[in-house]
Amino acid sequence: VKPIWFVLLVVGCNESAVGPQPDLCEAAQALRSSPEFLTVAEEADIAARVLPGGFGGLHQELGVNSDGVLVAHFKENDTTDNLKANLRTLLLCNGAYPGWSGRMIVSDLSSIVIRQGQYTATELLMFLRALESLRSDPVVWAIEIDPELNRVWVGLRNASDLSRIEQLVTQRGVPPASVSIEVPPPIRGDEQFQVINGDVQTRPFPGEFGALWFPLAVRFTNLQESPRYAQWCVEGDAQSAIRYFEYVLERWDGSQWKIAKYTVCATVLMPPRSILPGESATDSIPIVGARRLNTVPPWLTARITGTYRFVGMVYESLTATPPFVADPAQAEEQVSVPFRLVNTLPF
Amino acid sequence: VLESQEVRGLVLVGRDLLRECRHQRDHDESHAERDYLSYPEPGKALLCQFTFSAVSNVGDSGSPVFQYEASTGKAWLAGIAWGRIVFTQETYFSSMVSVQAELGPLTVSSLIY
Repeated sequence: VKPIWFVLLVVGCNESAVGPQPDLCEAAQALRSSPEFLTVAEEADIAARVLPGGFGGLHQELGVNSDGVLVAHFKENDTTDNLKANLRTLLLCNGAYPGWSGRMIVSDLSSIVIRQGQYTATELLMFLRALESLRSDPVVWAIEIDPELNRVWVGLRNASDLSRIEQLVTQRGVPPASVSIEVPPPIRGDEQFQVINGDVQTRPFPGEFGALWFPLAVRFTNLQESPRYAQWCVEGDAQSAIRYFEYVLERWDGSQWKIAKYTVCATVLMPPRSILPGESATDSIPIVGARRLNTVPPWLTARITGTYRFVGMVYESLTATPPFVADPAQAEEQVSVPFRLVNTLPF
Repeated sequence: VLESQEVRGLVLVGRDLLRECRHQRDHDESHAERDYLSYPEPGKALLCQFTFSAVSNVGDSGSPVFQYEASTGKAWLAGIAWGRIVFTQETYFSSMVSVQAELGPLTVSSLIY
């Protein structure tokens, strides 16, 4: 009987070694300087130091009306079931990213996607710290870790300094491939929207975990030869309603514009405003977005800091009547010149 | 329950009505599919809002949202429309369960939530 019992015991030990590792939580707690949320980069660093497989960071890939999937980068090849199970164990015990599981990121294994990363979060944090001094360079306007890219991201004010900044990155001992340096997107010259308040910063949305807002002042100038109409996007109740252009926000990702934020507008019956050729219309818009689960309107990009443009909806009416009921108006998406958004919030 | 011929006058027909509330937050029986953060009322959110995949027009706020069930030939009063997303071609509505939770029972004979 004894030999058989011994064999079973060995098999049992082997199984537990490849499954979730509960001591991950204790190891992570020992590394933490505080049980409270640190910075995203520091939380990722703690996870990378206790998780096997070379953890590179995570982000919730929110979809339109969908919580989407939790994407985690890992540097080394492993069976993804192990990586997912270990990551989930760590998140559920708040060993890393405390307070996020089930609120900012999904916790079910089936919604975790593992992607091949090139750098661990510990390496990225080290690179970020090595590049901190670049913040004082007048051409550098932001440095962050981009969890979608699994790289450090650097925003430049103009493209002419690109090679100089690339040299500085190398001089600081940071692998060039680990840094994504973004130069400003091209300006088309026919932009009819203007963001008046220039560079903007995110603010916490009062009383709502994981949500942000900031005011954006935009002006539309009709540079065409016929009137343009704009439907009102209405928010709020009857006592405190505000109204403005229907819009989306797009973020520049280095090669193309990517949707970051869309509007939910109350369908209140109001005649559209008419903007004659040469005339302007100006709105102050409270931009609201959420990086948490189960919430609209979501902020769709994990890296919030970036270069954005405002895309407003206007119409060219083909009839004499205003285009608010079954009018065959031609919808136009008019864009703004780019503006910079800096995220000040810990997500 | 409305018989199918009673809803022929609808001008907007959508698909993919979301039926299930997936989480609870802050209070007991609130079933939320999406919480909607509204400005200028910071600190307030519309809990448990639903969508269907067709874009409504201005003036459609307050319209009843019905769900037609082909198997029974009947339509169910699902909620009250209030908003739209032009970008995704969707309409938001408050479910009748939520409406009745705030206003008290209304004279409808059956619900979805």
